[in-house]
Amino acid sequence: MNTRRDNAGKKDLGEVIVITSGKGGVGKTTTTASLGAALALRGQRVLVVDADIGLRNLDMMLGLENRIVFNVVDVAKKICKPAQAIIKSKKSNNLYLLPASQTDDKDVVDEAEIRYVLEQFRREFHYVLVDSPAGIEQGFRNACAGAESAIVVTTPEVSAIRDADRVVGLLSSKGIEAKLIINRIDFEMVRRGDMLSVRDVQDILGIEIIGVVERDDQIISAANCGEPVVYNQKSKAGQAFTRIAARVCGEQIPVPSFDTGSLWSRIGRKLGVNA
Amino acid sequence: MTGSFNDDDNLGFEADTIPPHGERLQGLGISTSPSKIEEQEGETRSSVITARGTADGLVLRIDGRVQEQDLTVAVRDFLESRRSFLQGNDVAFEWVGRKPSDELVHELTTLLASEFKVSVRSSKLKGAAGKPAATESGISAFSGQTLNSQRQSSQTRVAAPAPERNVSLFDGMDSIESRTSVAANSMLWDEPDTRIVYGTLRSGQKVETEHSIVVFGDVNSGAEVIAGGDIVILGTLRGIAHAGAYDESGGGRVIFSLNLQPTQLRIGLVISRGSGSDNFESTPRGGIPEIARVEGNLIVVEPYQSRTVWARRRE
Repeated sequence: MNTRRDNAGKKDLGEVIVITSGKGGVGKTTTTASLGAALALRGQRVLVVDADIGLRNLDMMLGLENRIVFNVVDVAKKICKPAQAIIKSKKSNNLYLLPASQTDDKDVVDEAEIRYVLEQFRREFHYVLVDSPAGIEQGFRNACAGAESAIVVTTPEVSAIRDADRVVGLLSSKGIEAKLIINRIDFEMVRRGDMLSVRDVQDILGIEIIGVVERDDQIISAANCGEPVVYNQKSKAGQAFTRIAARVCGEQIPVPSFDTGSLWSRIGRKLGVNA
Repeated sequence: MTGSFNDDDNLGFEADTIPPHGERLQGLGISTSPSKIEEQEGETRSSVITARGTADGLVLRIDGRVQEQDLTVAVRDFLESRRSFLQGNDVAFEWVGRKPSDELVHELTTLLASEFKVSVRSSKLKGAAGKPAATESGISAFSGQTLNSQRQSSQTRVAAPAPERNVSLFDGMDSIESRTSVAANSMLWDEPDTRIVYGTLRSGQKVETEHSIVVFGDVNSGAEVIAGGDIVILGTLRGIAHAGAYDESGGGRVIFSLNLQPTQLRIGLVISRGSGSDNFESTPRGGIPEIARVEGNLIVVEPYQSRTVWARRRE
């Protein structure tokens, strides 16, 4: 996550980023798909890897489920060549998917095998985003193997935050720096005092926030039609992921805290900026 | 900072404020039948004193947290069983955990001399400076020490050889303790081996020690700190803190935090639930420093005022 990748390409190895959360259902897979698509829109060559072996989803988010022939386990076990397993996205020439196997479980591969798989692709891509399964067991350890940095996704709920906290601790014990995406925040509820604010979450987790994504119904419809939300620039979530992609590439875009609630959005609207 | 009682100061300790240093309890919730208590006291007595040989001679290590009359009995028992071995020798006292009163030292010295013909070479607190106790041997504990080693835990670094350039810095000076003013001495409480946590404890992380714990950071929900002694959290406590964990009564131990929003507080066998665990709104940011202690059978939390802690401990 730094500037050296923005001059698209002639650098040696792509950056491997694991996207994880601890708790399930907070939006890891959506984030992986959206961020991957947003980075690809910026001209980066991106591979998204589904490490959720046995419960694969990322293919559906990208609308690629019916094109899968080989998967990450096949690459790990050297059943196919690495290039045979990756699938190009329908929307972008820069975005590829390495799907999970749906019929195996998480123990069929180990960390060394995942590291081997990632090494096969790092030369070809600027970013390799690994979508981690929920939990902190073997699947999580596999997903973290070979990652240089991590994006931890959480929602502003105490249970999600506690799990994120655990994961941040585990990542830092592996020497992986974690940044945070707060997903599905509802600023109206924050203003009413019914939801934790960005600052509350920041206070507890104490790590850098790389993005805040508002709750957005279009995420659901986008997932259902297999098109990441970033292709719809009217969507607030889509805009948020576009900004996150820019930050991943090293651009300095401040993360709005919205803690001043209505004030922020009012000023934002007046100035015609998207907060 | 450690204290020495070589000085002629009058120490303000009252031995009976602190319950006997119990053996580590088997866990929370043990029954406190009289037989169990007796058994524990029996065990305590045997571990109150240990003897070990050093280059300077025999050292009796004594737990200073035990009540004075118990201590006298324990010392007598200890020497009685080793009478033939010790007679005519000299020993040094090394106190653990707490400084004894001058009267106690004097009493024990007299006891040893009269009943066992054992002379007391020196008496100092464990962790107090210098192998040769400074004032007794007439050697400055600091000759040949660096400024650095003096600042570090006096327990381990004292004997370290020093680079020559610093040799003169503390020459002719007395031990560190003797530079503690008489007035300050009455407030000293020596905590051996306090564990310091540099950083935030996250969910799933746990720190446990028989001694006290200082955390430079937060203790998040899902994290635990367990200490035989006090717990000081220079940050927000959101998880579980257990002070005085190996003493049913909690031993007068306290939990301090700059912002106290715990899941649970435990001191000894007393447990209290945090107030706001299920409602995040009731856990305001920027809370005030608070301190938790046991009163009766309850954990009492009150705003921290710099005077209260020591006053309580002396009660």
